[in-house]
Parts: sequence; C-alpha cells; structure tokens
Amino acid sequence: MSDVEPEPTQPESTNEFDIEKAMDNIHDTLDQFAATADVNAVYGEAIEHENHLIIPAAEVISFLGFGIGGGSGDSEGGKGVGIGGGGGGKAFARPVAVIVASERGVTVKPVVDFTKIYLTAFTALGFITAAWLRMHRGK
Amino acid sequence: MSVRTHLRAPIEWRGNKISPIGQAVRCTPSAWFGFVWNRPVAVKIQPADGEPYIRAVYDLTRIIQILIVCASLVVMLLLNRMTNRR
Repeated sequence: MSDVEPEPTQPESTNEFDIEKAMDNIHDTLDQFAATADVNAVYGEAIEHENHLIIPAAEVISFLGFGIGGGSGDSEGGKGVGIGGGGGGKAFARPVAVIVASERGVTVKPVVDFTKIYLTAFTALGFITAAWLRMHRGK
Repeated sequence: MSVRTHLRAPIEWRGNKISPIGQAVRCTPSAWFGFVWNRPVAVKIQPADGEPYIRAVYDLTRIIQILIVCASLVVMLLLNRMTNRR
C-alpha cells in the first residue's frame, strides 16, 4: 500500500454540471413565468347566476428574480469550492371590475377599493399638511 | 419590454359572444429578473343580430388615486405660491 493519500479532487465537472442545470432550471422557470402574461390570468371563469353571466376581472402583477454565485479558495484540507443560488417571486392580484351580461346587455361594473382610496387620501393630506407647516415655519 | 394584447376565446351566452381582452406588459431587463403586469382592458361583445361593440374596463380605484395625487400636488403648488406672495 502506498503512504501517499490521494489528493482530494474537486469534481469541477460536477460543479459545472450543477451550474448548467441550475441555469436551465432558471431559464425554464423564467419561460414559465413569461407565459403567465396571458388573458386567462386576468379574467376568471364565467359564472351563471339568476339570468346573469358574471365574469370577474383582476389585475395581476408578478415579479420573479434569481441569483447564483460561486467561489473557490484554498482551505486547510484542500481546495474549497462553493456554489449557491436562490430565487424568489411574488404575485399580486387585485379585483378591478366585474363584467355582467344580462338580458339588457353587457355592463362593466368597477370594483372600488375604498381602503386604498382612503390611504391615498390620508397620505396626500399628510404631505399637504407637512408642506404647509414647513412653508409657515420658513417665513 | 413588450406590451401585448390578448383576446380570450369568446364565451357564448344567449346568442351573444363575449370576448374579454387583456393586456400584458412583460419586462425582463436581465436573464435573472422580470415582471409581468396583466390587466383587463375591454370586453368585445358580438350580439346575435347587430354590430359588435366594445365596453372598456376601467380601474376606478386607480383613477381615483391618481386624481387624489394630482389634486394634492395642485393644492401644494397653490399653497407655495400663496406663501411666496405674502
């Protein structure tokens, strides 16, 4: 038997393969994500209710991001190589309107989010008050 | 960045054909990041007898929000002018 211990070899090819695999996964996911730009994401299933046909409509915003990185350096036991990556995404959906079809025709009824409107109004009021106070103090 | 308008397959209801129309704003500035903004735009209605017509889908919440912001900017501008005149 030889006294020489085999030098720990770093399977670089495996790392390259991992990166390629990760890149493929990322591109696949981004392609799937891009495919969400579809009209079916916005309009829901039509519901028939008491001589009315109702189609809900919503606004959908989705974000997706990825990151991947690697590094290598000498360590006591041999070469040190590390690869890491991550990703995340979020989708927001907000009802915008309801399309109602009846005997009299088709109408679009908007969905009003009063909470958002109140928040906007209070924020604007806050800015106006702050600006007014600053103007008076600056005299 | 791309903007695309999509027309959904028409829904037949009592002789009317209702086709919802959506718009998608797709932005992928890099291979690592992207966002898609889907919004309803209008509905195309094809009656059994008659000309097709389009009903726009308005986002009333956003319109009111924009109006509030614009109004507050105008008020702030007026306040600034009034203060400077004194």
